Amino acid sequence: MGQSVLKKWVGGFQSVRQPLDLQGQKPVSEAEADLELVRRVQSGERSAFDLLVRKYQHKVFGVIGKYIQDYAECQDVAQDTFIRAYRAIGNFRGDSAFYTWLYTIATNTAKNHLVSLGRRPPTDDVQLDDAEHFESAMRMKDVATPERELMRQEIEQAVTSAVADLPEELRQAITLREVDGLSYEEIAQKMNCPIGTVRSRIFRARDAIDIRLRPLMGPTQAKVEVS
Amino acid sequence: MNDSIREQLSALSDGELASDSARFLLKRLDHDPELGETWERYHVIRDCLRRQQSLAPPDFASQVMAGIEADVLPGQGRRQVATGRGRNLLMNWLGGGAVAAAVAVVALLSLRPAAVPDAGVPQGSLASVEAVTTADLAPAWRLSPVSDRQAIVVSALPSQSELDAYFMQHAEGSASSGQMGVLPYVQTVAAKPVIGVECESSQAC
Repeated sequence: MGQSVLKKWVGGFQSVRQPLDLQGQKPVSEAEADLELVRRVQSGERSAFDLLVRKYQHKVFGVIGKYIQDYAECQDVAQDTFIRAYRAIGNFRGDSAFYTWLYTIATNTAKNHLVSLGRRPPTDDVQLDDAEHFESAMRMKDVATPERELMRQEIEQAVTSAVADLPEELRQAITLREVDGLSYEEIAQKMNCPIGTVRSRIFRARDAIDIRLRPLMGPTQAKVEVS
Repeated sequence: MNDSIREQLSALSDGELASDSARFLLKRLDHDPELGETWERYHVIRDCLRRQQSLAPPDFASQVMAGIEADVLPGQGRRQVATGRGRNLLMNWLGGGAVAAAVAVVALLSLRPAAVPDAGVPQGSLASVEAVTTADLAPAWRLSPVSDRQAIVVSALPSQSELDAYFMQHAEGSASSGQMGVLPYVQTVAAKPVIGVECESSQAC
């Protein structure tokens, strides 16, 4: 009797420590959120695919950059990858994560592109984990246009300086999340604070970085890039 | 777009948002371009902090969507992507197949060459290879002016016999220059099979 009361009390305490919209519910993982978007694309909502493109475009560029060094070529192959993915998305059943599936399409498209040009694709395949490393795109950096390279440097610099200017608790929270890949719960334990606070700190950190990034990545900037 | 929505977006990108809220937010993302741009920037921040390079150009996603728009014809795209409409899909497929078959039959009947004798040799067999001549291997040039300006250019082109005469006259002189002496001969030989090519208009030849 006493134990159940205690459990109830502890449970109540824990729920207070969680954000309101998470109480009593399992959070949706990234893979599950992707699957939700995929289901929408499969039911005919093309705009949901746009969100997947925006999410994974840089990762896909990184993967293709392992195979193709020329920036313009890389862009074509990346576009081809997403178009192929869109064509085939009706067959995606969700047995693997969406990104794993997309990654396979990206590597195959890049290899086929090289073969079609009479070039030999590298014998050592790019591993999924390796593809997320910084070095993956280093070779391509040299052949990117100066404007593009400048823009990339500006974005990187804006993010780095924004993180450096963050208050300590926000910087620690965003670093634990993005660099160390910890969950909110793990960060809460490390920082000795409620999960809701972690979520708020990570958001405030992102928002502060986003304010610096917005002028560099807004629609106006995109128009300049096109012209 | 208020802070609460963006905080939920931040949690969603981390896979830390409850399912109901996530579903609601994903739905909203479809129709809120500003929120979509924030979603994109949050992932750029992630890619930068994880030491990935943000290499895709800023307008890449819209280029992809334009490419998809161009790639998938209206109606066809839905058929490729949408699932769970088996009956309609089957009817569409059968209807399309019937039309394609009818077109193929008409094309076969109308394009069948009248001069081919019924020798009992199935089409595509080795026997039909004998009929191939050098004229068949020559490029089928059809010079047809599509504008007034091009018409002048086409009518000013030398005839094939003039070209042959030119090659023959210059072959000897070019060969005597020493280097690349074989090349004029190759040109002359290569020009021969083209002599029989019919031009579409008498003016062009």
